[in-house]
Amino acid sequence: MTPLVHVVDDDPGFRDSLRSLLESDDLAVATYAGGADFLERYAPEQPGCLLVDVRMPGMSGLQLQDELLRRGIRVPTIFITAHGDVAMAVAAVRKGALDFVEKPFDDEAMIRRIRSALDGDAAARDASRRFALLSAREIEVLDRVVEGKLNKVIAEELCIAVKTVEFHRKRIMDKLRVKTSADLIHLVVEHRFSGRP
Amino acid sequence: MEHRLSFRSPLRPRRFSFFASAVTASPAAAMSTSLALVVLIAWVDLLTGYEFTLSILYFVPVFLTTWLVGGRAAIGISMIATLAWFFTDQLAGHEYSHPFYRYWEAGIKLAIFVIFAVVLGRLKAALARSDERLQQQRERLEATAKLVAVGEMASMLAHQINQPLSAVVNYNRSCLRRLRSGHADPEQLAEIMEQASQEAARAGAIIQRVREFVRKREPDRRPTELNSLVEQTLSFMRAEAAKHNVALKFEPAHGLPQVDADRIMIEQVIVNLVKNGIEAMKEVGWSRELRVATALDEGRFVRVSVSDRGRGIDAESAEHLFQPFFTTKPEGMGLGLSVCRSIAEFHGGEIWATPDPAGGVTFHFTLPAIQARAA
Repeated sequence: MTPLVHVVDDDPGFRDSLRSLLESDDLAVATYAGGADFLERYAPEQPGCLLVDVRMPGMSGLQLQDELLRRGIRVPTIFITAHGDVAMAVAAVRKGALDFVEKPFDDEAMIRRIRSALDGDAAARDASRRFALLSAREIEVLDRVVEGKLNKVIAEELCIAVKTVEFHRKRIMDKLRVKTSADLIHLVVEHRFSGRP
Repeated sequence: MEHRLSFRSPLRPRRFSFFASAVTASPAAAMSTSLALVVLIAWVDLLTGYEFTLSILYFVPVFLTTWLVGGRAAIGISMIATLAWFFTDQLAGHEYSHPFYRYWEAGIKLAIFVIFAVVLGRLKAALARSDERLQQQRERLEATAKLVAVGEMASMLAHQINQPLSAVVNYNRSCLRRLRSGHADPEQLAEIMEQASQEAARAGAIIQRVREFVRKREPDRRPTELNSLVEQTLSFMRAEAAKHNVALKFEPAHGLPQVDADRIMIEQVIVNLVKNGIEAMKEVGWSRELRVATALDEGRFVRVSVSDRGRGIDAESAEHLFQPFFTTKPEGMGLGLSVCRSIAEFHGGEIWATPDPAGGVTFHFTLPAIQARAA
């Protein structure tokens, strides 16, 4: 599926101009007049990122972010604002926003940001898919590996042979496509931090 | 300006009867009313005999004089009232066991009247002070409110214009990117540029709307005697000048031609310049004098000059003096002089400042004369 850039802004002129700009870089764009419109039409299975205006009548950009968090929807979000408001930017970034950009913005930098947001989304989706392959037993083992426990300890806790633990570890590394234990830990931490299932 | 003139403290009674308003019209009227009252009370007191005492009524003239004329006059009235009582008492044939007691009674009465007048005078002064504080507070409040309103409007305007301008930037960048990529479709480019133009037009329309909003009041220009207009405007600045110990002097030139002016606008200019001048001399201890002069300028203009003896203006400030939002005052908005310039230019005149070698600055503004007479 091609990733989609979602643009939410109440100003039709600005919305359409952003679409024109992003399409000049061969990005697929969907535009929405407000938060409610976006929530109605958004399909979570479609990869993508969200560009949203902070100030909108009805549902503001920050309120939309809250609503997405409440619904458990994770989409990389870039806020656009007409005036730099530091407090607002801090609040948004704390809740997981990628960036806070002031209008008018530099097109190159904006497109770079969007591309990196889309890459991040793709990586996170890929990781989710790989984690989904793990069995219940493998997740038990993985949790203990992440906690830094030795194979012997894990075997004792789960009442299985050390050999079996080693076997599970090998399967986990294969399924998650990582080579070293360090990569494994890194992947798990990143994935859990992103809050995806 | 209007609010200043119509401002009345809620502490003062607003409604006077016809009679009361005649009494309060001037100190002289109040004084003569008080004297008449004293005579009337004395006469009635005499007619009714000493057993039917009316001396308490003398508080009314004492009160009137204290409130409307002043402390010294009130003490005078107290003495007159005491004398009136003394002779009435004597004429009515009031017998005392010892003649000294009449003097003693008179002395007590005088003391009570005087104490009453002094206390009342203090009370009145305190009320006046609180009145003044109230007005100052109100002025500060109004200035802050104005500042907030202007800030709010500027921020809203910035937001509204930023939208279409950002869109124009996006459309332009979109065109540039397509052109640089080498596979641009002319049809598509034309469409994008069309949209960019529409957005630019939208920004223009917003500015147009603001202009219409600002120019809501149609200027009302009429042939005007500038000297009388200046005189009149200065008359309501005198209180302000006196409060800051500034002597306000007006030196009109005679035989000036009339000018075609909107009185309210020109008043605004004069008020702004005079207020600035008074403020400029805030830290000057000696010769706080603000001179306002009129003159014929090159035969075709009438010039008004406002000279202060303040600290003057440094070269850097002088450059930006008439720019909007430029200010040297901590609480200023930086709109006063820029408004003055707009008004002067609107009338076809000019405004400028010249430093005074003796210290201080002179602001001049000119208005075109209706018919130029030879000076």
